[in-house]
Amino acid sequence: MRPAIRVENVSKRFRLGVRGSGSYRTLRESLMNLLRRPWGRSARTATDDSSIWALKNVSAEIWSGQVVGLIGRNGAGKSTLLKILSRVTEPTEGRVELRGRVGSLLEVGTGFHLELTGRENIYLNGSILGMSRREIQRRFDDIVAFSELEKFIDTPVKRYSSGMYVRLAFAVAAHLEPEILIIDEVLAVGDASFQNKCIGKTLEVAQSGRTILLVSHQMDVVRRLCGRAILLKQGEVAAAGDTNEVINQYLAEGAGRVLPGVPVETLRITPRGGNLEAVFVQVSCTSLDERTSGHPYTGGPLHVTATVEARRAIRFNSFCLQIFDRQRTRLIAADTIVHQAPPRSLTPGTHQLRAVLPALPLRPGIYVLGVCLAQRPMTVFDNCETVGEIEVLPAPGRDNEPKPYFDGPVACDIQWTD
Amino acid sequence: MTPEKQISGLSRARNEEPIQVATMSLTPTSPATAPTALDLEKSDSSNTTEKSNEPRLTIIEPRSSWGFVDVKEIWRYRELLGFLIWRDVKVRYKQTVLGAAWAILQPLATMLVFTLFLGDAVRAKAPGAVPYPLFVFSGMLLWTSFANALTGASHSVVASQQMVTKVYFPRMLIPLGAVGTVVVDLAVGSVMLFLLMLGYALAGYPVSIGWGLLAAPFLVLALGMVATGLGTLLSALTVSYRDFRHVVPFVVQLWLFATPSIFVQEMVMFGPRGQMALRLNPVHGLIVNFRAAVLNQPMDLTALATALLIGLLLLLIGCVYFHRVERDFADII
Repeated sequence: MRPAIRVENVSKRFRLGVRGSGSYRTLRESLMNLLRRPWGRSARTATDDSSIWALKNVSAEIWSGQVVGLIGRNGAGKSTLLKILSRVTEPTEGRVELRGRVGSLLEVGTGFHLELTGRENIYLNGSILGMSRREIQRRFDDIVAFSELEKFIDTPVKRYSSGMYVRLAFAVAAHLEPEILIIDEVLAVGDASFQNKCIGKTLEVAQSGRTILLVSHQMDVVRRLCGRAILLKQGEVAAAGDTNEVINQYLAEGAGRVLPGVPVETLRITPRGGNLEAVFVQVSCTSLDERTSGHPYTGGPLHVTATVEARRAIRFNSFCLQIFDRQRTRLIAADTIVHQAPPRSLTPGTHQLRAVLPALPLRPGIYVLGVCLAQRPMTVFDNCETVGEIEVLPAPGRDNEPKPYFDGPVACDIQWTD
Repeated sequence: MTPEKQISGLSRARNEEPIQVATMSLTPTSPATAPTALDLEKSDSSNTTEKSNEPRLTIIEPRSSWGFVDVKEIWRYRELLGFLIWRDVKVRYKQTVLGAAWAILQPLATMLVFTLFLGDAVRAKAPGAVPYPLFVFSGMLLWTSFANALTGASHSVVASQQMVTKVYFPRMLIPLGAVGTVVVDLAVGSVMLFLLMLGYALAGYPVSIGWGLLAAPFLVLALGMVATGLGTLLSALTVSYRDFRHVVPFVVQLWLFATPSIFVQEMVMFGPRGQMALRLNPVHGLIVNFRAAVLNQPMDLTALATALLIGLLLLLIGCVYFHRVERDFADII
């Protein structure tokens, strides 16, 4: 038995300025280049400093029937690897073997045309994803049923709401039946109930013995779906193996977030409000709990240490910890003003403020932490609403509990009373 | 959305235990094996269908830059090509009042302009006294198609950016689809040409149809080849150099002037040397012969042979260049 996906020493180099910076190579540039050194090697093959390795010697084997999560922070090379596996782009070095028909979902609704009707788009999109006309015909009714768009199937897609659009697009993709399925973050589209439906469908696919490789930033999704995980870090494989271990390693590295116990020091440049007579220069947070490597968890404490630099002597009565969801809705504003204590004073210089939220009432997920220092109701010194992202983990020992069906950020117990 | 339905679907999914997994090994990064074979992907299609036990093997490797587009693969994806053409035709005439009539109106309007405003001195006199409007329409029909195909093909890859960066299929399908779309228009236009001919015949003009008509589809095909060759080349160039977006309309305009045979007497406009130069224009050769075939007149075989030769050469160049750069499309588009 050979692995369904074998990745051998795959590397990928990008020319800087080619991707991302938005600068096109102009004809003049190339012509000048050609004139200057007509027999020289072209810029593409030359090894110059202006290139970066998005992937370096990545090797992995994924066996048939495995569901593997690919994790890592932005820019770690996850999407590049998926693009190579789906043959959208070519590796600079190395070799990949894929055994079985490959279906890749780097995006939901690739090739959808707004002018065409739902029915027409099912055929078009199915064909683009690699289904034959006969396969699409066979599954057409299932696709429509899954999308729940029976009434609108002959309406142009441009008249669909974005939710309907995504539903139709995922429905087509879900009925692709390849032996190897490559998914990039598409489970993160749509509203919570639709996401659950997508995850359910992916589980179904997984149980039918297909091989799935998926990229996700949602660790709970990776935990639920994947038995194995690969952690990419700056284009290299940093860890591979059991999902929980790999995820723990990833979280321990912080992934660009506010790390447990590690102060965020870039605060001087983040946008903020207030008169800035006293400013936050460092903020760190931790649950002080080794079981979650210091990460905050549902129902656990969140200790915050903020370093404040006062430009002159000030008095303040309000130190406020704010927590937002990723759509920037403020979920928590825990303010010391409620204590009605006399204002504290700060002399010019740096001081540390320490406070704790004793029981964090948030469900697992990613949130944004903010801090604010003020003398209410007159003066706001510094309101920094983006210290960074924090990941709230499930309470230790409770991460295997079933999750509520609906999505809601606030954790709340429920008991029978009858 | 019915919540009950979803909840049941979800709980079903949840009851099952989270995925049984075999082993996964991580090969430690051994000394980098140099990129070995410079082959294209070898998906042995023979294995896929016959022996169903052995799954299709796809090998992804850096490949050599010189080669020809994979014709076999394009053939395997012919259904997608059909869908792309079908999409373009469908989309073009959605929410238009006149719909497919637009395919006819363009050459028809040009015909009217030339008929009304061009003096007798420069007007082409077709042998056998074919009515001038018919003469122009048959030429313009082909020219408009060619111009549209060339323009469409050269913009096509950049216009399909979304697809190119998200899904794999032979990139060659994109310019091919653009040319194919125009062929559909041409078919509609041909009906109009036929009606015009019928009208003139009924009005007593010497319009006739001969065996040469059978050659017409092949001439259209040859024109498609020229458009594909050049369009492919330009589409690939446009990906790297957006300059060509501005070059193409300009070239098309100049080309129309370089194909005067559509509407004027070449002998009057050009001397014998000019006529030799005209032969290098493959579109000239094909249009002249298409018209001859349709209007039952003697064909110009030298011009035809030259046009085919140049057309083939263009196709070759286009395909080789396209193949050379297509692997980078997703990165630089």
